[in-house]
Amino acid sequence: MKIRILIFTAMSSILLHGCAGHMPQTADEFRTELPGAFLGKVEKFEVDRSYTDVGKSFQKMAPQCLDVRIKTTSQTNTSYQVIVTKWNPTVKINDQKAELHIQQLHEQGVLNVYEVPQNGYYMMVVDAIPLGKNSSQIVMYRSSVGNKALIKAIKGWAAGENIGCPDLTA
Amino acid sequence: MNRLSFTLLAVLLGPITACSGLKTYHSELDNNLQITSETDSGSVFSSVRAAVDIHTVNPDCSTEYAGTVQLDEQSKDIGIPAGRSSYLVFVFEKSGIFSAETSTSYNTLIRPRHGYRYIAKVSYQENIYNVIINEVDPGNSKRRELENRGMYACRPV
Repeated sequence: MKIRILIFTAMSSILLHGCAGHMPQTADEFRTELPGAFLGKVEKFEVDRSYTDVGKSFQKMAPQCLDVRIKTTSQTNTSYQVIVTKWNPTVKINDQKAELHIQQLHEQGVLNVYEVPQNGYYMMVVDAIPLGKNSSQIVMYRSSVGNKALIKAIKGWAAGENIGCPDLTA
Repeated sequence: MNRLSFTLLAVLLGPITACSGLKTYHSELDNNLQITSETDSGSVFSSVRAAVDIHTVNPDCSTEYAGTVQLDEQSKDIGIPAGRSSYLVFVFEKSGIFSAETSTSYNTLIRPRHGYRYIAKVSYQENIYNVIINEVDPGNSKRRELENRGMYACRPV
């Protein structure tokens, strides 16, 4: 887990800071900067549900599954490290789309070199855009590696399946 | 096992059991909650154990640990108090040869109604866990899925 966090933090920095020493400070900046970033991926698919229904699923499941604080401890003969990461999901629904923002705020054990947005670095943004009365396009802005369970869960929520929560410690 | 071996075992296991802080949930109440579980770590190098910690909820919303039920392939029937809230903490512990032990949990308040049965279906598969609790009406056997309710939903009386 510790290695995952370090990899994620390092990867996020490599992915998104560019040369200017900048990390996305808003979901819009994340959407704009991720497609051109190393290991950045924009995945699109369709579901047979209205975007407001998708948003309601996000509203139900995100607080239940993603509003968590994860503490990781690791110990060797010469070191002892504790990393505390708060996951902060935000769901927004307006008349154009539903959005799920997932941010990670490292509260302990990680040196934040770049300016940290209020709720932590953006790790994923998911949009549900209306295609028709009962169909939506889902756009996931995410890393192309890792977070398999999280991605699977969000796809399930978008499709209206009772899939449960991803184990964020795994 | 001779007496010396038994004594040594008791000396060894005594503190371990005492220090774990866990106790098996036991209740004299009629069984009203059936729990079935299915776990699969997704790897031959790791395993997942599931359990549920049962806490009674006091009128001021403080909680008291009442005990733990280890979940395995067999369904478990237990009795939890009707007419008052209990706080159920479903814990999934994953351990493996090449990975550290991790633990995650699903927590929910439940306030069973008198005469009703409750069926909890617990699963952990491919790093996704799920707990679905249905309330079964004794009159017509109709099922109603209960919403997840965190402790924030508790209101002091």
